[in-house]
Formats: sequence, C-alpha cells, structure tokens
Amino acid sequence: MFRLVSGFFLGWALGANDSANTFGTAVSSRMLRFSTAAVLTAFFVIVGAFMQGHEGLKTLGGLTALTLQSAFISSLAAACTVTLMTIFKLPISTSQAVVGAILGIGMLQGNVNTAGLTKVIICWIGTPIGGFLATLILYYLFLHVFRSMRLDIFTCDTFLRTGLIVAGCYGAYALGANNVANITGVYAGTLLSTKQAVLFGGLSIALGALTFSRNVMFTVGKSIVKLDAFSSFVTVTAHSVTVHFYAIVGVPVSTSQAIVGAVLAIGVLKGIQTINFIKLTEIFFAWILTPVIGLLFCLIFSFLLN
Amino acid sequence: MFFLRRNKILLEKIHDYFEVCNDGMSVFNKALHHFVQAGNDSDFEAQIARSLELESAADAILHKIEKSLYRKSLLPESREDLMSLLERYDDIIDCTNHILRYLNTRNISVPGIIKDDIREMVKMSLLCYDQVRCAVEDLLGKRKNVMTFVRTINDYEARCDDLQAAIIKKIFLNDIDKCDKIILTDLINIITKLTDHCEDAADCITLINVKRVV
Repeated sequence: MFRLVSGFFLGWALGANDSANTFGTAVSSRMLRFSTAAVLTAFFVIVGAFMQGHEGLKTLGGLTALTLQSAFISSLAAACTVTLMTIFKLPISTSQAVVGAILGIGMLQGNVNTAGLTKVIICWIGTPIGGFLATLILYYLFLHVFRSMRLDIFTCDTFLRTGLIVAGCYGAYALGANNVANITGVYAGTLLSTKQAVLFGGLSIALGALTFSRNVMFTVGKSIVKLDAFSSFVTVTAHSVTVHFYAIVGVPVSTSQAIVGAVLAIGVLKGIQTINFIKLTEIFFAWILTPVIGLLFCLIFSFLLN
Repeated sequence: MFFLRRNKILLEKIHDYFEVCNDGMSVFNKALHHFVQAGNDSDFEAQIARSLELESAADAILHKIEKSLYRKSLLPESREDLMSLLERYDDIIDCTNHILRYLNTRNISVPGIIKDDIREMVKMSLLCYDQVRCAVEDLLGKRKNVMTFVRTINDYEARCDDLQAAIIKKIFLNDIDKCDKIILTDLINIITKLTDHCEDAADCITLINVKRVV
C-alpha cells in the first residue's frame, strides 16, 4: 500500500491546482465562499470520477503495462513534475506529466503503445482548440439569449452568479471524470480494482481541492476576473463542456489547457490586442516541456530505485 | 430565489433613497425661490434645516445600501458600478445643500435684474436632475431609454452653461458693488455645478449601460 502514496500525492497536487479552473473566478471575485467552492468541488469531483472516470482509466492503463514498482515511479515522477512547474509558476497539465512519466516507463521496458499515444497527443492539441471553439459557440449563444431576455441588472447578476456555480459544479464533475485516470490509471488492474481506483483518485483530488486550492483559486481567478462576469461564465462553461467531452472519449486531458483555450477565444472576440502573447508563448512552452520533464523524472527515479 | 430576494430588498432601499433625494430637491427648490423672493429670513433657515435633515437621511440610506452591496447582493463589478453611480447621485444632493449654505452664510441680496435668470437656472437644474433620476430608474430596469435620458441631461447642462455665461455678463455690465459682483458670480458658478454633477452621473450611467450591452 506504500506505493499508493505517490498516487495520493499526485491526486492531491492535481486537486490543489486544477480545481482552481472551475471555481477560481467565483471565489476570487467573492461571489462564492472558498469553503463552499471547495466542498462543491470535492463532492462533484468524486461524483464525476465514479460516474465516468473508468473510460480514462482504460486509455491510460493501456499505454504500457506497468508493474507496481513502475506505477509508483511514474506517479512520483508526475507529482514531482507538477510540483516543479508550480514552483516556476508555469501553467501545468497533470495529464501531460503523467503520460510523459508512463512513456518513460514504456521506453525502459521497450513497450510503448504508439496507437494509444497518438490518440492522447491528438486530444492534447484538441483540448485548447476545443475550449476555444466551445467558447465561440457558447458566447454567441448566451449573448443571443441574454439580449433577447433584456434582464435588469439584478436579475442578470443573479442569473450569472447561479450560472457560474452550476458551471463550476459541472467543471468539477468533468475534472473528476476526466482526471481521475491521471491519478490511479497506473494502479488500475494492479494494486486497485477499477472501482477502488476511481474512489481513491476522486478522494485524493477532493482532498487537494479542500486543503490547498485556495491560493491557486485566487491566482487563476485574478487572471480570469479581468474578463467580465458574462465572459467568465462562458469560459467556465466552455471549459467544462470540453473536459467532459474528453472524459466521454476516454482521454485524460488538461483542464488548464481547456480554460486557456477558452480565455484565448474571449481575447479574440474582445480584440486581438487584449491577448498577452508573451504569456501565451510561455504557456505553449510549458505544455511542450511538461511531458518531457515527466519522462526525465521517471528515467531518473527508475535509475535510482533500480 | 435567495439571491433574488436579497436583490429585491436592495432595490427597495435604492427606491427609498431616491424618494428622500426627491424630497430634498423639492425643499431646495422651495428654499431657493423663497430666498430670491424674500431673502435670508427665518423661513429660509427652517428650509435649510429641513434640507440638511433630508441629506442626513439620504446618507444613512446610502450607508445601508453600501453595506447590502458588500454583503454580496450583486456581482463585484455591478456592485462597484452601482456604488459609483449612487455616489455621483449623492453629489447632486450635497450640491443643493452647499448652495443653500452659501446663500445663508454670505447673506447675499439678489439684484432684481438676475432674479428671473436664477429662477430659470434652478428650474433647468431640477429638470436635469429629474432626467438623471429617470435614467437611473431605467438603467436598473429594462434599459430601454437610458441613452435618450442621457442626451437630455447633456442638453440641459449645455443650456445651463450658456445661461451661466449670460448671467455673469449681466452682473458685470450692471452697476453693482464690485464685491457683490464676485459673490454673485460665485453663486452662479455654484448653481451651475448642479447640472455639472448631473452630467457626471450621466457619464457614469452611460458607462454602466455600455458595459451591460455586452
């Protein structure tokens, strides 16, 4: 059971970081208490993991065959990658860190499922694009609805506030459904059964959200709050739809990538000059580096432990 | 439903605030007309006292509104917008008290040649204020005629500026004591501030409305 510690560490780190993508805007703008947001995130992450988390487990588990030792190493490598990227304040993708680490194991074993890997890489490219397109569609759809309703300020605010909470809950559900595979994908079928794997992953993500997501929520929220309430609502909804879509497909993807794609779409809609291209380049390089660092950590830990 | 109920309470408070402000404007109108007609007498002082009372009452409601707003009644952006608008609205009410106090402390005697002009100016300022009130009420409702009200406010402000220039010219063309000329010019400038504050409120209303168009 000691080998599960690295998985739990990874789940906790993911919960602390990625739950910010769902309620960051609502919490940092004081529309919702942190405690309420954390409890809602924790609850819906577990529900999402239980309801639809098994599909991702199959995909990730199928990338390569893992022993208990290699599962422990890959989780530890991914957790260290996530932590390192967080220290450098770079937007992280836990999915990429995990896949990079699993690939490291696969390379050492000479057993990499290239077909599965292609599917994962296509989805990585597709995630920000999906977030971008979903935002464009939802923006115009909601805009039409809002304009036709001609709501007064008070009703409009109530509508947006409720919408942000619902979209956040949906985002947490999608996070659990999609990202639980990142945590326990490597243990499924070895140390844990599928049901145990989704429960373990869901709980560790929920614990991360409950205990350590406050600061990240504020960080993400402050960068997103520059958007108006309506745009925030659209981006959170679009991000949730995108992540949920990939949960159904069965590929673990990054919620950060989805939200970055969604925010970029708002930038395009509001005017290209509003986009911070330096930050965008940094994010792009972080996405390329994450699986590479995950792989390198995995090789180093394998060397040290064997 | 909980948020809707909370917002309904807030809206009621805002309407209460407008009611008190309207009463204040009405007292100001009566007091100024009385002053122009009868000068600085005990009735005028009583009206000043009533005006100050209403200003305090308006301030008290405004504080309650502020507290409600910061108890998460609205989204933060709307909260800031609404507070900023109400503060500008409050500047109009404060300005009326400032005018009445100015008249009371300077013990001014308004010359007959500008009495009608001052009455006209006050009338225009009150009409301008009415448009601000209508614009705010429309802004908090369906926002159908906000920009029409704003245009009328700007129109009144421009007309008031023209009248201000004309009155000051009249003061300096006539045989009035030099010291009185300065005091009267100050008075006209202060009265003109009423429409300036209305224009500030109109700018704020325009900004909020543009934001809400999405």
